[in-house]
Amino acid sequence: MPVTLGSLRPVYVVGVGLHPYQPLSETPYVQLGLSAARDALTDARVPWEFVDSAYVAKALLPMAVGRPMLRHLGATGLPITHVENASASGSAAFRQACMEVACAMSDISFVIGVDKPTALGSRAEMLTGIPNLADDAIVPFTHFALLADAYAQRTGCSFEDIARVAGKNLRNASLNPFAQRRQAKTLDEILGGKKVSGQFTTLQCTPVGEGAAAVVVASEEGLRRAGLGLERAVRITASAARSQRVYTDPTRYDEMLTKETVEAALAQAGVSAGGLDVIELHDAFTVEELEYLEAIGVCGHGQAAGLLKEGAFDIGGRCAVSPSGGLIGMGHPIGPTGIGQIVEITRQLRGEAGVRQHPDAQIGPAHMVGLGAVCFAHVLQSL
Amino acid sequence: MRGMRCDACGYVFFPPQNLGCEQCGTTGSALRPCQLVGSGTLMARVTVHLHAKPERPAPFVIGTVRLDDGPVVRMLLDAPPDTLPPIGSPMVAVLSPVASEEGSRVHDLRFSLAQPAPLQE
Ligand SMILES: [Zn+2]
Repeated sequence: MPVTLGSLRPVYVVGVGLHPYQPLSETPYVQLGLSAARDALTDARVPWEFVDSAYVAKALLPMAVGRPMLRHLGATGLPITHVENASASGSAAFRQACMEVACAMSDISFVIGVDKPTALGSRAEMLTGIPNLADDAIVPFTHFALLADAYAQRTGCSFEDIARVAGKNLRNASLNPFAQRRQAKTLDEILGGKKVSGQFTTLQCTPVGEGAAAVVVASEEGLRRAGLGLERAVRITASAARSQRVYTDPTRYDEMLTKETVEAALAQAGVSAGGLDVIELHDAFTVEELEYLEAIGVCGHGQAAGLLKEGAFDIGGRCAVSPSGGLIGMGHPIGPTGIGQIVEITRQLRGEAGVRQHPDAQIGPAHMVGLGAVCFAHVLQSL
Repeated sequence: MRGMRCDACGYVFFPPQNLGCEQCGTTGSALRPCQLVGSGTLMARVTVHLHAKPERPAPFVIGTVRLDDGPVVRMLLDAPPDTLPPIGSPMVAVLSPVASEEGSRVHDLRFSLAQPAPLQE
């Protein structure tokens, strides 16, 4: 029987930091990364020399971006591992660090995601040597636009109902100084924007930009070594990862994969979907949020749109969904995204989310899907 | 339309490949080409308004079709961008002539409504 994270020694998030997500600029990636790294170390009050290992997540930058960046914190000789897992790169790096600390190979591990949209290349699926029909014509936004069309048909909700996801997430992002999109938009503005594919307009799709996110992960021994206690620590009670199988409806793989992965994480943590206070979801396209909330059991099938309209997923509602603004509002610099979710959940569970604070947040999962298709889910809980 | 069938587990798939069955991992002669009937049911459809590749000028229509043989495929639909066929419509594969870069006529596999909808008065 494989061990789960929760059955090993406890692992905590003890420090978080971000560089704002923003459109591509002249800022070197090293500067983006160091800004998030220093914020996370300061927040943790852990000196860099105490860090045993580092995981660096990126998907668009070239190979081995870690040392040219991290050497400026002091070249301590710590092991550095780079992780690429498409949109879930940051989530995968975070999982590696958690596992390393949980099994006591390290006491303090550092996770950083940094990326710039400089090298957007072709998808691996196009290089397999297996030609598909019109695969040059079906890019991710069309994949999700087709899912939105089927979702509206299946649940009877309107495209306006689906677009409301962007309304909420842009509103949340307008309260987040690290978000790429910082303007709340009315439903009319969202629906009236430039058409992309199907019913999607630009504001219903995530902007891919640049940025950085960092977290410090530690054991109690690590904290003790740094002279610290558990006062501001948030425990990671579950980590689950899965990849796509063959499903009855293969086009709905994102949803089926999410269901399997998040359900596994919630089971590990011993919490129910109904008991979640706050959740950061992969919402690269509006319809995803509704599908995933139903898939993981936060609500019943076909109910997400109605609950969203009633405010159930607002900050202060039944369960705050993507209070950071999500991928649609906060942005999606790829490498940092999954780590940025951990930053937001940690702030929420510490009660340090300021104007975005969801009252009495105690249990918060983070969920990411990556092209390919891989899925990660972590559960964070306040002590 | 040519698909493939795995004799080990019965999985029928498209597009054809002999790299290994996605359901059970079997390779070799157990993966056999098979003919798929070029008919199915429309599950979803969208008009693509923005597309970066100049060789595919937008708008064009993409559909998800569940073939009567089982596999679900996505491809271009022969449908006007402003009047999409309803979800649930019966569809058939057609060879549609498209102009190639050299100006010669080539054919592209697409899906089209099985029976044209009756004209509304
Ligand atoms: Zn098989």
